[in-house]
Amino acid sequence: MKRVWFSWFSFLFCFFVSPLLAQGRFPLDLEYTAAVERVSRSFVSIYVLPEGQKSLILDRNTIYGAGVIIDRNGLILTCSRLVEKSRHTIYVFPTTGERFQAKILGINRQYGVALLKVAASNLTPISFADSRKVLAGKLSLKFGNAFQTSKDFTPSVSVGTVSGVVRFPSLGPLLRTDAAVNQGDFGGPLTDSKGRLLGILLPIWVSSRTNTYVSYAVPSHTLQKLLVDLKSGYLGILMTVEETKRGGALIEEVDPAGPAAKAGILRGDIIVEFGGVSIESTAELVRALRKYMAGDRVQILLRRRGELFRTYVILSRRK
Amino acid sequence: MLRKTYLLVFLFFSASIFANEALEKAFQLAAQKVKNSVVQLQVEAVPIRPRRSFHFFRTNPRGSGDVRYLARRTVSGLVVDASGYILTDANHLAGKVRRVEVILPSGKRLRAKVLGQDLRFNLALLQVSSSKPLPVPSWGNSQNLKVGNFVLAIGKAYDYRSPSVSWGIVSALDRFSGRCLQTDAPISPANTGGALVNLEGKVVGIPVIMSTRVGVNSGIGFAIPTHIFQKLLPHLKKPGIVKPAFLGVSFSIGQAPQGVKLETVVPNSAAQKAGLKPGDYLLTVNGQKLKSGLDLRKILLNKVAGEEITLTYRRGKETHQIRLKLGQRPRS
Repeated sequence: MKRVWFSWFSFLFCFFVSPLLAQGRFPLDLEYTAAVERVSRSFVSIYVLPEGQKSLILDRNTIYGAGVIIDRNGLILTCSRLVEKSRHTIYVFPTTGERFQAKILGINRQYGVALLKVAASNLTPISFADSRKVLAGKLSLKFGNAFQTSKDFTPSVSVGTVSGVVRFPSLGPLLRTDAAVNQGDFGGPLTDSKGRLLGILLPIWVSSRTNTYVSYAVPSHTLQKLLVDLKSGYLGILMTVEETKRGGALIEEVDPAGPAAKAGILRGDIIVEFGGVSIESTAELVRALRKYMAGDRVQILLRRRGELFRTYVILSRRK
Repeated sequence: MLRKTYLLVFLFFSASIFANEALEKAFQLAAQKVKNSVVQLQVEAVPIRPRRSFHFFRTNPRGSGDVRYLARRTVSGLVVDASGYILTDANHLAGKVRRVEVILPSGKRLRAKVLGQDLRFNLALLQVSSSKPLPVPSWGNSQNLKVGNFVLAIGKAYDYRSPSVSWGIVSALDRFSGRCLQTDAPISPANTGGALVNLEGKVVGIPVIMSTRVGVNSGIGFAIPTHIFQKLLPHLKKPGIVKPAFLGVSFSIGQAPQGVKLETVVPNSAAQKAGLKPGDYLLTVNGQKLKSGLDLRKILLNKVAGEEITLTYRRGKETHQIRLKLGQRPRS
C-alpha cells in the first residue's frame, strides 16, 4: 500500500509541483534572501580615520571597507589593507546602527587578514562553511561596502560563483570569485548560498578600483588556522625544543622590542609557570599562550640560575 | 524497502534538477514576458556643453572640445501606459534634444514628444501617438523586494527586436536616500531606461545612471523601484522639469530618537511661513514617525512643489501640529 502512495507522490511531484516551480510560483530565491538576512546581522562596515582627523566625515578620502563578526564578544575579521596604519582610528558599524571603536588584535601579512576587537558582548557571529569541499562553480554571495553607497551601513550584496580554487606560490589555496567586488568590499565576507562564511575578500589587484570579475578571498579553513595565531597574544620569545632537565620552557632568544623583554625576561631563563598553569615543556607553553589575547596581563614564574622570579607581561599583538 | 530507497533517491534528484531547471526557465519566461514592453529609442541631441561623464555616447571622432556636434544615441525605454507613454533615463536626453524616435519591436518607428523630467530620479517621460495600444508590462510589488531576490535587467539599446538580458540579485534597498535600489546585474549605460524584472516576469524597477563614480559594468547598478516611479508619473506628464519640494530646513541625517532637530530654517521658505524655527524637533510627517534625519529626507525627496504635508513638532515641552504646502527650491 505504502509503495503505491510513494509512486503516486513521485508522479504528482514530477508532473504538477515541478511545473509550478518552473513558472516561478514558488520563490526560487528564498534561500538567497534568507542567507542575506542572516549574514547582514554579522556584517560590519569599517571606516578608518586618518591620524589627526577628529570627526568621522564620510567623503571621498575616507578609507572604508567591510568586515565580518566571528565571535559574539566582538571579534571581527577583515582585510589588513584597511587597518595596517596603526595610528589611525578604526570605527566599526554593524547593521544595527551602533558604532564601535576597534583595536587591532593581530595582523597576518602573508594572507592580508586582520583581526579586530570591539567592546561588545551580544553580536551575532557568522557560521563557517568548510571551504575545503568547495569546487569551482559554486554559487556564492558577496557582502561589502562598495563605493560607500550605503548611508545606513547595510551591505551591498552581489552574486557570483567561485570561479576557481587557486594556489599561489608561498600561499595556500585562495578562492577566486566572479561576484562583483569593488573598492570598499575588501574584508567583507564571501558566503555560500546558505549564508555560511566561505572566505574573506582581499583587495582587487587592479588599479581601476572597479570590479573585473576576478577577485580573491582567503578560504575559511585557512582563516580558522590563522585565527589561532591572530587571537593569541605575542610574547616575543623563541624557545628550544630541547627538554629541560627540571621541566619548563627554555628561552633561547628574546625579541628586544617584545613584551617579554619589557618584563625583564632574559635569554636562558626557564618559564615554569604561565598564568597560573605550570609548564612542563615548550609545547605546553605554546598551548597556554594561545588562551590569551593581545592586551592580556599574564603572570609568569621564571627560573634563572636556580632561583625563581615572578613577573608580569602584557601581551602585544602580532606584527 | 529497496524500491522505496530508490524512489526517495529519485525524488531528491528530481527535486534538485527541477529547481535548477526552474530557475533557468523562470529567467527565460520573465525575459519573454517583458521583452516587448522594452523599446529602443533613438535620440538626436546637441550637447549644451560637452559633458565629461557622457563621453561614451560621443560619436565625434575629434573628441572633446567645444565643437558642436549632433550626438546620436541608441538607448532603451520602457512602456508605462498603453496609450503611448514611455519612461526612460533622463540622462539619455542630456543636451538640446532635436529628435526622439521610438522603435517598437515590430520595427515601426514613432516620433516621440519629450514630456516631463525629474532630475532627482533621472527619469524622463516620452509620449508617442500609436494606432495600436502599446504592450504594457505587469507591475511587480517593489515594496516587497528583499536583498537577495533574483532580478533581470532588460535593455534594447543594441537591437530593437531582441533584448539584452543580464541577471543578478538585488544588492541593497534604499540607496541614494531611498531613491533607488542597487543591483549587481550588469547594466550597460545605454540599457538604462529599460526594465528590471523579477522572477515572475513583473517589472520592479527602471535602471538609471545615478552615479558615474561606480564605473561601467562594475556590478553596481541602480534602478528606481516601480512604486516610486508610478507615483511620479502624473507629475511627469506635464512638460518641463519636475520641481522638487522644498521645505527649507536643514538637519543632520543621523539617528534621532527624540525627533529630528532643525538646525536652520531658510527665510521665506515653506517652513518659515508655517512658523518652524531652528531648535524645533520634528516628530512625524503625514502621520509617519521619524526615527532619523534620513527618514525625513526620504519623505521629502518623494514630494514635489505644491504638495501638502502635515507635520507635528515639539518646541520646548509643547507639541504642535501644522499643515503646510511645500514650496519650490529658490534659485541660488
